[in-house]
Amino acid sequence: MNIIISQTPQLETLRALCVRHTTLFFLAAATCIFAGSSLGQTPTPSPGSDDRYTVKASTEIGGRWVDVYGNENKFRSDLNYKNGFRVFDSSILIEDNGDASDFKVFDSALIMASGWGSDPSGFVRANMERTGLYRFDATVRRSTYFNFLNNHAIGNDKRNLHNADRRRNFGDLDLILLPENRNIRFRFGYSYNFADGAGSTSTRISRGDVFPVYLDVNSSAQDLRLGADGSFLGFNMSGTYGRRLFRDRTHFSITSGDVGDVPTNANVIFSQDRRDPVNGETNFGIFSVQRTFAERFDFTAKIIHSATETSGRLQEYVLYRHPTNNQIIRDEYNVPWDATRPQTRADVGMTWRITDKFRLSNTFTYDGFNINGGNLYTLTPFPGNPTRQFSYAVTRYRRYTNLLEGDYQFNDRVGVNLGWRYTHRQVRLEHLFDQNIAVPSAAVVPDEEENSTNTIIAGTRFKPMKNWSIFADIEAGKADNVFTRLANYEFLNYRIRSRTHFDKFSINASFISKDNDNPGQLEPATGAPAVAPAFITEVRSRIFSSSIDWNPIDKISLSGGYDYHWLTSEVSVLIPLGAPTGLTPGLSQYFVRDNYFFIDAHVRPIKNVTLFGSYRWNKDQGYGDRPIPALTSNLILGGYPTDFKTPEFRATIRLSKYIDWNIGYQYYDYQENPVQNIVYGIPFQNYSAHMPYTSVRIYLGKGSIDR
Amino acid sequence: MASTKNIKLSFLSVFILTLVGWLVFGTLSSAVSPAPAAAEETQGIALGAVQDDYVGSETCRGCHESQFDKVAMTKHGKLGDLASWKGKVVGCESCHGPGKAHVEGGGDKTKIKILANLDPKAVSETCLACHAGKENHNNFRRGDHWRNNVGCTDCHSAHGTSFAPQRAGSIVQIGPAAAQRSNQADRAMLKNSEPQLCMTCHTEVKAQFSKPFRHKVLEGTMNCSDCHNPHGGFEQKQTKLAVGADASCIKCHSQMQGPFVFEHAPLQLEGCSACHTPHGSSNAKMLKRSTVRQLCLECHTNIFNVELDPNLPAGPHTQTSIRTQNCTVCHSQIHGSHSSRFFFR
Repeated sequence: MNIIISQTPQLETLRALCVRHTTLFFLAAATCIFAGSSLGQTPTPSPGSDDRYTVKASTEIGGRWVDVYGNENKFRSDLNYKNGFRVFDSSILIEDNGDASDFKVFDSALIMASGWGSDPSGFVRANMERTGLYRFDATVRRSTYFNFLNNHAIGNDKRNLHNADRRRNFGDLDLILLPENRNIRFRFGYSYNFADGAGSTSTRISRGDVFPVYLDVNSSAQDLRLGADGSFLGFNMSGTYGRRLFRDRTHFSITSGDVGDVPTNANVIFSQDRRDPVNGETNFGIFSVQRTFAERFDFTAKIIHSATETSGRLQEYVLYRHPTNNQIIRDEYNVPWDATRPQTRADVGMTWRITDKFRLSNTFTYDGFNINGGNLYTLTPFPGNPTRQFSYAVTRYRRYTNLLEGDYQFNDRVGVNLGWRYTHRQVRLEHLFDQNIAVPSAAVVPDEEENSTNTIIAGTRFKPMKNWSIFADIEAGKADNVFTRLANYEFLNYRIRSRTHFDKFSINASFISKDNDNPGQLEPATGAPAVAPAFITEVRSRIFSSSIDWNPIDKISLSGGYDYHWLTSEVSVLIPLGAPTGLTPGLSQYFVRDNYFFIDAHVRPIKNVTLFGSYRWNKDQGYGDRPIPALTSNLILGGYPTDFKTPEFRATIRLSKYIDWNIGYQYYDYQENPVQNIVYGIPFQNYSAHMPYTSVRIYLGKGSIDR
Repeated sequence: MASTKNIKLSFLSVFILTLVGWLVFGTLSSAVSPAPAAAEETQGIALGAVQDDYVGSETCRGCHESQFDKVAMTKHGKLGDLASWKGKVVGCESCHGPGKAHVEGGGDKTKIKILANLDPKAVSETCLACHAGKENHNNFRRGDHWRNNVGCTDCHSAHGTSFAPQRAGSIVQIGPAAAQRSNQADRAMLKNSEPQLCMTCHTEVKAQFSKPFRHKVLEGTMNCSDCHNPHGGFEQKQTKLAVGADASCIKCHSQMQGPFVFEHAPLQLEGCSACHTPHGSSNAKMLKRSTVRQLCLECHTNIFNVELDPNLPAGPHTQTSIRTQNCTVCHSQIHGSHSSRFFFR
């Protein structure tokens, strides 16, 4: 049985409808208003024109139909298109051509919108400005996120446990006063980020089964920023203060009995209710300074300090049957907690233009933070005795990086650069998990790691012809590593790009190669002798990509490309084959052999008709024809074949000066072949979808004249 | 807690003092009050140049009327009206240099600075003469684009761009069709819509943004500059920071900001891209590997240490169990937890 997730509250549906319809109303109203003011005009772009305003607007509205064959949940996880009305790209631009002496609210105002209605994501952007006085930018975005997959986070009973059907609303509003002023500028910003909806996660009880938990997601974050930029004593300076508030009221629950992912044992959860309200706050300040001395020496410095705090109290009640002793138990968890993270980053960059052709640059970066977290964990089982545990975890992180680079430009055709990056990092972990809080704790021995890395960076760019540029970079050395491994990453990355462009033809190609070796060491078991380093992760990646754009005549444009991504990851592991075999040295392999091809074509066979056709095909051969190892083998195989393709065709017919009619069709086909699904007999998530659509685009003002 | 508040207060104080400093020393007053008459007289003079070498933009208009009309509609064309620009070179000669010799030479192209003929770094220096002071531009001289000879005018048009009329929309936004989108082209005087510009060189990301799980860049909901600063920065890959010192991902994925009592180490130490592919992926959750355990094993080779620990019961990570092939089934709060050091709850 799969979990059914849905946004049950009718209020949510109502709110979604309100937001959607308000947006559409806003767009329609704006279009009508501006249409009224622009249809009678004969606008010209010349500032000498008698017309005060130039309006260019177009809006496209229509509908899409979706017909899915196969796994609809996978389709929604990938695309999430729905039947119904939608707004395609729409925009309104108003320019005030008045003289400087005229009273103006704005010089230009631009509103753009796309994706509203039945699309999974949409945006409205507004940019309004009056040169010298202000600039206002606003972006409002909405995204629906659906995830319901049977090859990710599944339990022994083959249920997919981590699902989502959520909506996120984002917004950024930024106002700059005196934006072009050389001496001082003021900035004000506000951002919001709301998430709500349904979903599921998983939980375990008493080392028993895994159970799905229903989520009622509700979280929000809001930022407020204010700052000023300006120059003082020849230095360009910028200061920003910001504050973010974060809250999470997600509710976790199991409301009806569940037998877990192993139905044959005794473990059952009858009900669960978990609340872990989180309140968070971040205060941050950013200060930067820059000056160019004598047009030769550039100095830039920046310091950021942020202090983030979160706090909350987890409360959970769970009624369940124990997996082994068959008892009915009522557990109660009560965990007050808090955590802080003060962080400081400082960067200093200097570039010295020694000659017009030779530059030296040095960039120093410091990053340091502490994470201090603690809780008082109380588990009160009934029947049973309470368990109390005081925990704290401290992470102390300090990292210093210095990058020294030289850059020489031989002429306008050839240049080279060479650099050296040095990094030193200290990580200190200090953990205490003290179950006997009545007795003073033993001293905590912190776990400390310290490492240094050196990296060489080199690159060149040259132009064999005026229209042909080649870029090449190489980075080789060592990089920091997660301290669960006891050595640095060794890497060798290089890339080559070629860009050729003529009037009607351009061809681009690139090749990126990455070799990463991640040596590791097995930590000895408690009381066991140390084990020599024997483990290594090798990741090899090659990406070739290319594209061609060709516009032979005005009425035809073609664009196509091909990518190939080759990746092999091999990890030495100890494979737990289960008792009595125990741990066996083995290998975990993962393969990507991904081909991607696309072509787009625009053709205008007659004046009033434009045709568009596209085809894109992604085929990953994954592990290819390698045999799938038995579960008792010491080989693990990962990376599975997928194949998806989507052709699209569209015709645009110009009905009048102001109206285009569009009719189109898109097909989407997805096929997969995961190892896990094969071994355990889980159905593949294959599907195909037919998506015809039609729309009308209305041009208003100068938008109708330009086309 | 008290120390944190002190830090906050200190920062606020420094900020206010700096602001007051600007005000006291007259920076603001010079910004809002008319410039002195003497300064107005010197309008059109660049440092190091002779006054007589400049002819003014109206003279340029005589031959380059279409360019003049286009520039006049842009911010570049309107700076002469602003008080803080009095006494500075504005108009055509602010970028192209003094035009007297060019005019007297009958339009001699060798006697005027033509940016198209310059090395991209030289072009950028011209732009940075005015734009270097803004925080976003401060690192351009140390950025990847600079290093690879990508100049300002490769992406921006100093003369302004035309607002392209739109044609019927499509979810496929790659290729010339996308160039017709107004999207962001009108902002920041970009030559084209932003993703289209970036993908001209970064061709490999086209494929990534076409994968089933992706950030909605081609759809227009996001832009490359939401996460990257194309003008360079102190971060690798020219990524931006959010909420002060956090990774740019945190701006939208605020629930991952933490701090958690028990943090999964890579969250802060390595960054989100240790496990996720930010552009797009065929894998759920935009993970770097389609099989979750491979992703975990690449760092946690010694995860099976628990099997060797006599204090723990054997068997939780057996290969024959589906559950243990999907690590996050049990370690469900893998980004961080406030109550479980093993990320169970």
